[in-house]
Amino acid sequence: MTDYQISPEELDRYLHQTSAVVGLPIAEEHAAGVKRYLQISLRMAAAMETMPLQMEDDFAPIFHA
Amino acid sequence: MDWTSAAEIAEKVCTGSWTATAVIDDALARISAQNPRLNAFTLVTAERARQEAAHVDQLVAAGKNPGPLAGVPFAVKNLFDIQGEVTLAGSKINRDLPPATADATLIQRLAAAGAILVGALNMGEYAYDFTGENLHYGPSRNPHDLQRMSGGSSGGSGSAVGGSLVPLALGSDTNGSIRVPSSLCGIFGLKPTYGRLSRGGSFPFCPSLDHVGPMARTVQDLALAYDALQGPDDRDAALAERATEPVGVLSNDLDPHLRIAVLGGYFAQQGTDASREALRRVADALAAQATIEIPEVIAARAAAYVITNAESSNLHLPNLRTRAADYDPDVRDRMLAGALLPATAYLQAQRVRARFQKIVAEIFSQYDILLAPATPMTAPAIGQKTMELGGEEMLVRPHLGLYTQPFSFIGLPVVSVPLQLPDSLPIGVQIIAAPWQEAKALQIARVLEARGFRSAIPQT
Repeated sequence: MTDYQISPEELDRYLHQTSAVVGLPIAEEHAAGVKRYLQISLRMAAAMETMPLQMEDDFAPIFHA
Repeated sequence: MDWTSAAEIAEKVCTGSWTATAVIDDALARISAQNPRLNAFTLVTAERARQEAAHVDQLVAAGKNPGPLAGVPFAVKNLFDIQGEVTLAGSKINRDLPPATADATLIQRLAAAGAILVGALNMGEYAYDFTGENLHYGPSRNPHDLQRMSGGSSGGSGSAVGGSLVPLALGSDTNGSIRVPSSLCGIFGLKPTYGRLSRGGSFPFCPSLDHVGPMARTVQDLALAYDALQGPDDRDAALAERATEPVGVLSNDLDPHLRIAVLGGYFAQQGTDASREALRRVADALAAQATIEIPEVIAARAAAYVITNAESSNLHLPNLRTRAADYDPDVRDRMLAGALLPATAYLQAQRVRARFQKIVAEIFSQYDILLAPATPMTAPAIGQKTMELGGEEMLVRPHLGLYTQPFSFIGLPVVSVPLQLPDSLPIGVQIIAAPWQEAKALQIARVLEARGFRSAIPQT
């Protein structure tokens, strides 16, 4: 399995389980649209995986006193 | 006065040729007549505008300096606070918020320069949009073809400026929301460096990517506004501690020492003939010889998408839990999806961002200006859901900004320059500079304007 690529059945389970954990109920009539956009987001997440990163590629915020 | 520039209005008001009151009365009449076609305004602040115009006229009569934007009518995307008004941010949900207690910082800055607020402008809900469509308030329409999109999310800003309702508007740009409507409506837009202009008193969308900036029909008007908008402000924690760097009057001459490169690869492959031809014409006008590719731009754009998705949904989590049905379905579904993303995707996106910043910094050690299309196509039809780019069918709403996202992702200053190909709608080209080099991008835009790349008067 490639990173972030999951079957429709797995996506369905992911949607219901993570929404339960987050406390974010997804109405049944919204589920198809949410899954459509979740697939786009996961595809984007997969596209990032191709970029070679090093340990020093961090994102530490800079705080000013 | 329809197509008069902000600079010309200010000059005529300052010298007493025109009164600010006459300018504002004319603008209000134009808005009243034309807005039903364009749907650019969601609020017209006529009484306030007339009072402020009278004040400007009093200053002129007393021999005092009314400011560099004296009497210039302007309007703001309705995510900027207007004192006494509810900040809608294009939503239904925000109607329940109390009215703003003060103007947004950038409204205060323009008012201090003598400009006069005439209203608030339509936008895509919560700025999560590239189309200018809005379920609750209707679509803002493209002044060059009323059946087509204005682009978004600062759609009302593009429509109002391109449709000659006002010479100047403020927009916000998280992934392209100034540059996309500027491109589709045929006007100039400036997305400054991240942290350059204060977001104080504006409704947030995605804090680590949100920018604000001006949109206008001439480059000098952009520069006038940009100079007035700069300055410190403790209302925006992300505002950089930098001295103001006014650009003043721009030259028409191309600095022969500037190193200019055209971006190929990603920026050619996913476009249309219109975007490729627009880029070619701008490159020719600047005699740009080099064509380069930015490594990892696909990953960068993907990371911008993920960061936007995650940060925006987090801001909206309380309302997503209790009022999901009150959102525009396209915004709701995308935000609900964003709230369920694994943390590792968001963190990976931030690391990609840090790496991509270094990659592009290296490119800017060799070049001063990069050129890329602002949008992959001219304005799609209102209601159009999908488009085909590079042989792939994709949704319009999340993908119309695929050329703008990589640059806002790392906070670079960009000016969108319009052109109109024969028998075609307008389209824009991005003039991209290194961080804090807005002056260079504006200067190149002014050179292009002098060479014929102008905001086109709508024929509709």
